[in-house]
This record gives sequence, C-alpha cells and structure tokens, in this order.
Amino acid sequence: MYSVKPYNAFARPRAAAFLLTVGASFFIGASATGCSTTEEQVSAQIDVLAGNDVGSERWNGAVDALTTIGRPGARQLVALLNPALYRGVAYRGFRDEIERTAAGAATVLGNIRHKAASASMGGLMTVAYRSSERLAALRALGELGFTDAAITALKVQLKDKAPLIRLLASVSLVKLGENSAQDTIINAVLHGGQELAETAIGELERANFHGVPTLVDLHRSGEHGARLSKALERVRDQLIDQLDDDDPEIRRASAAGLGDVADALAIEPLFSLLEDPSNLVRFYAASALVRLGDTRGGEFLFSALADADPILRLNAIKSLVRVQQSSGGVESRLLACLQHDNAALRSGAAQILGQAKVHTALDPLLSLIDDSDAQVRWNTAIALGHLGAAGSRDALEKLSDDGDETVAYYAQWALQQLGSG
Amino acid sequence: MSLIYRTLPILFASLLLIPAEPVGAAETAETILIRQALEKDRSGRRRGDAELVVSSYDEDRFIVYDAAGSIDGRGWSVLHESLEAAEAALETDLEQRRYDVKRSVVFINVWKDKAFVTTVDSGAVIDAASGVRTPYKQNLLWTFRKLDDEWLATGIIVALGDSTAGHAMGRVEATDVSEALQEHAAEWSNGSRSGITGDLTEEVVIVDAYFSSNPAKWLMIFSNREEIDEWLDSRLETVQYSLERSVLHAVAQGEEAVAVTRDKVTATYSSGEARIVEQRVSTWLLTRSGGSWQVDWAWWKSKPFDSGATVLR
Repeated sequence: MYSVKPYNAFARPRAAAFLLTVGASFFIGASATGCSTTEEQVSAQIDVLAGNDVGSERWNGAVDALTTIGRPGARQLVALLNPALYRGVAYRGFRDEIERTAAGAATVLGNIRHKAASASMGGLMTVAYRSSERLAALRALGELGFTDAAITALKVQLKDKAPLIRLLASVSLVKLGENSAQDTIINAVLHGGQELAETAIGELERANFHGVPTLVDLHRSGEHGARLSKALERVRDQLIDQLDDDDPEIRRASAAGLGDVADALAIEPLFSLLEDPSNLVRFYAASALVRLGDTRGGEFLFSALADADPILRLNAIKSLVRVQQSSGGVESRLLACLQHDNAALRSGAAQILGQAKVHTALDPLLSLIDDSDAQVRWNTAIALGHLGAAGSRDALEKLSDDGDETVAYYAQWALQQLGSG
Repeated sequence: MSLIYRTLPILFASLLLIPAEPVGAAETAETILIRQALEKDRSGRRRGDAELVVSSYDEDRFIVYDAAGSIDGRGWSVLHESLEAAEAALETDLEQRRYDVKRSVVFINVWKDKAFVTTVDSGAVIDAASGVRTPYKQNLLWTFRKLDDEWLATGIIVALGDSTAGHAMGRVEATDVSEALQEHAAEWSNGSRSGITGDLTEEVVIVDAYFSSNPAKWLMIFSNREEIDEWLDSRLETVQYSLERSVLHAVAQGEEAVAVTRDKVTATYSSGEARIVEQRVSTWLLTRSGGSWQVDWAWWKSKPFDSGATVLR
C-alpha cells in the first residue's frame, strides 16, 4: 500500500498565514521558473506527480504545492481524472504515469474540496482503475460533500472484494454524514487484522470530527486501546485548534466532537466559546462542557432555558436533549426544574425529559397536569406521549377535557401514542 | 451561404441514406455524415455502381489493405495502393459478382477531422456467370478524414479478424521500411523533435490501442503532425525516451507499406525519480514521399499477440 502524506483539509491556516503560505509558494515558483502563470505552475507540479511514485516524498510535495495553489488549478486537475482526455498535448502514454497523475489529482481535489470533481471521482474508484487511483478517489470523495451520486457510488464500493476499498468507502460515507457503514469500520478494527486495524484508525484519525463517535465507540471496546487513545488525543488537539476557525460550522462541529472525546484538556477552550458570536457554537460548546462535567456549561444551558427569547429556549432544549441522551448528566437538574417557579423552566424541562425518554420523570410530570400555565400542561401531555407509559392514561384523559384547546389537542395525541391498551 | 444552410441539406440527405438500424445514443453530426459515406459504398456495391462506391473515397489518398483474417498487424499487407487501382479492381469484381449485403456499423471513433470505423458486412455474393449464391461476411476497418465538410474514406483494411483470431506470422520483406522505422526509433532516443515529426505525414493519425485488439478501446490521440509537434515540444523537455526496436513485419507494395514493430521503451523524467520500462507492439501504415517512408497511421500499444499469450485481453 502506498503512503500518502496525511492531509487535513479542515485544519486550515488562519487567513493571514494562508496568504503568506500561498504568497511564498508563488514566490518560490516564480523564482524557480523565471516568471510563470498559475497554469504553468500547475503543469509543472503535474509533471512532478507524473515523474514520481505515488506516496514518494516528491509526489507528496507536488500534492502539497497543488493544494496550496488550490482552486485556480482545479480545471487542469479534473482533466487528469478522465482517461479520454489524455490525448493531444495532454497525452501521457504510460499507464504508470496516468496512475500517478490521476491519484495525485484526486488527492488534491479532495484536499481543496472541489465539489465539481465529485462525478469524475465516482468513475475513478471503480474496479477498472488501479488501487492507488481508487484509494485516492475514495478518500477524496469523502471530502467533497454530500451528493446522492457520491453516496450511491460509495455504497457500491462497500461490496468490493478488497477490505481496504470497503473500509475507505465506509470512512468516506461517515465523512458525508452517512453512518450506515460504521459497522464495516468497526469490523475492520476489531476483526480485520493488525494492518487493516491500523489503517482504519488512521483514517478515522484523519476524518476530523466525523470520525470521533466511531473512535469513541471503538475505544470503549477495549481493543487496540493504546492506539485508539493516541488517535483520540490527536483528534482532540486538532479539534481544540479548530475552535478558533473562521468557519462557525467548523467551530460547532469541533465543539461537539470534543464533547464526545470527553477530555478535560478541552474544558477551558470550550468555555471560551460560550462568548462565541454564533448561537449554535455557544450551545454546542455548553453541551460539550456539561458532558465533560463542567458546571459552567449547565449554567449556560439552563439560563438559556429560562430566557425570554424563544430562539434561545429552543436551542437550550435541543442541546439538553442531546446531553441527556448521550450522558444522562442533566437528569436530576431537569427533574428539579419541573418544580421551579419559572414556567419556562417547567415547560422546557418537561419537553426535554419527554424527548429524551427519561422514564423516571413520569411521576413528577403527572404532578404538572394541574399546572396553572397552559404551555406547561401541553408540554407535559406531549412528554407523557413520548414516554408512552400506561400509568399516564388517566391523567391524559383528564387533560383531554382541558379548557385550553392546545392542551386538549396534545392530550388526545398523547393518548393515541399510548394505544388502545 | 452560412454554414448551417450548407450543412443542413447534407444532414437531411444523409438521414435518408442511413439504413434502418437503430441510431446509437452517441450519434453526432459527424457520425451521421460518416454513416452516409459508408452507405454510399454499400449502396454502390449492391447496385454494381463503382462510381458511387468510390465517391465516398478520398481521391488524393486511398489505400486498401488486406488483413488476411487477422487483427494482428503482422498479417496485414497492401492490397491496392491507390484509388485508381482499387477502382479498377472493384469494377472487375462488380462485373463478375453481385453483392447482396447489409452493413452493420459496429463502432465509429471521431477525433477532430479524423475517424476510424469498424463495420460488418453480411449477406451473399452472387456469381454473375453461374448464379451461385455464396454466403458473405466481411469485417472491415475504415480510416476517414474530413475534407470540406465531407467525410472521405482514406483506407479500408479488409478481411479483418477479431480478437479470437490469434497472432499472425510477420515477414520483413521491405528492408527500406524496416530501416526507416529503426531510424525513427533512433530519433526518439535522441530526443529529436524534428527528427520524429520528419518521419510523419502531415495528416498522420496516432491511435493508442491500450494493448487491446478491441477497437472500442482504442483512442485517437493525435490527428495530425502539428499536434504531435506541439506535444513533443513540452514532452521531450520532461521525459527522456530510449527505444530499442525490433521490426516484426514490413511489407510494401509500390509507395505504400505496412509494418509492425516491438519496442522496449524506457522513459525517465527530469521532474522525478520514476523510470518506466515498457514493451510495446506498434502497427504502422506508411507511405513513401520524396523517396522517404513516412508514417500515415499508427496504432501504438497494439495487442502484443505473442505466442502463448492469452488471446482475449
């Protein structure tokens, strides 16, 4: 198997550093070749790909250089994915050479997340191509973002004879938010032999926050403990680094991932995110803090649950449902909220306990059916519907005659959830 | 008159001439015009009209090669070296025999103003003297070029075999052709762009056969000498070639020749450490111009057809 230098497309340099890097690259390129256009620089790097074995130092260097050039080189790189375009001035007569350029182009296009390459990439990973081309395309497709065609193409590869192809297809599916192939990865680690296990863990390690839930599940299994701990440490460091990313979605997903990793080193960086300009980032950071046992996260979420702003309350409810489902860490506080003077807290806690299906909340919820606040009563009805406990039937029948139409409506709905029994 | 008004009547007429067989999804204006030319040929043969047949041939250059039932170039030879020779033979043939044939176009590959086509003719040949009807089946490989909006056949390789036909025994009869091809190989090893292109006709076509005898896998990579020259301009700066060539087959008739070579190609790169060593068999159609043999069509990386090698690849 060839060794392609791991590249993390998410760990993008800060804007200034990025410009410096690109600037330096162009300066070096211009100095070396006299003065050249970007197209010429891309062509020169493609020649380096062609002239060096896949995974060699120089080949990896060309991949890095083309990644730094980025999208201006994408058109020339996409052309390398199609064998029918190796003609005329672009002709390369040796299959080995085409393999090197196609695998390099796929890797770079994945690194720069050039989504338009997705269709060509799908073709490159079929059995007609060589292993290194297929592996590069499989890895890249996971970086290019969700499309139905990409998911379909990757799922076809799950039936491939080669375990490595199946593994990389699974990892790419995970990166695209499709977790149905997670079992293939877990199988590769637990039953695929040392080499495949190492590859699987390495791929998950490079899959950024996408790989964290699987890494955590695997770590719990106890197999390959030391290697998985190391992988989680590396991912943790990467995620902490990404908490300062310019993209709020990267910050949000990194915070969520740190909640899964559950390492105390993440607490202070996450705490600083409670002041983030993005609502979602703040809530995911708070959720992660709760899961790490830090009370400041809980204070943030419960404070938002009591806020007059319905958007904040909604975010708090979603966050607390996630926390309760993943760790159970807020159950006692939620139960206490059911008795709080603030109706917003009673209402919100009822919603969360119902959605998280906390069955110990049945009796405290039943005590709310006479609550003076109609919103509390209808959320209690909904929660009882989610719990589906037969013991709530009498209370729900009473609520179905409630003077408030919304309460009566949801009580009827909840009774339907209980069924005729 | 604008191009569209000149082209539309031709397209319309060509549609009328196309036999009633399904038109592939990849049909284009060019393939329709090529089918028209092929239909002229077939229709002329059926009617015994040699003039109609040759109206689809390029009068400046038209060669007929005999593949002798093989797709391995080592079995090929020149049958008629000019349009005049082909027409004369055709007239004689059509006097003696009537062709009741239909034609299936198996594959059309177009690149810029050049194309190659494979067809299968089937039906019967009726002997004029005896009236005896003999079953007829013929695989043909056609080469075309587009001239003034018209596709004209520049060559036909008749009695083409398929991938199951196995290998043929080559014979090196034309030593001057063999020497020309050796010199051509030396130009590659010398990295001489002008030396390489000097051995090519202006309208040379190079096909990469991808080691396959299946024409559907072949790709035309260059459609004239200028393209090759432009490619070599950058290619020879980054790749150094070394060619060790042996000529497996070289036969000529008049000013036309067919040859097959086996090359051991070694390539090194100025941009890297990789080194490629590859064995290639190439099939060449050559013409003599100004006393020198020049390549007019070539199939690089033909199927090797080595003895003992698997027939299907």
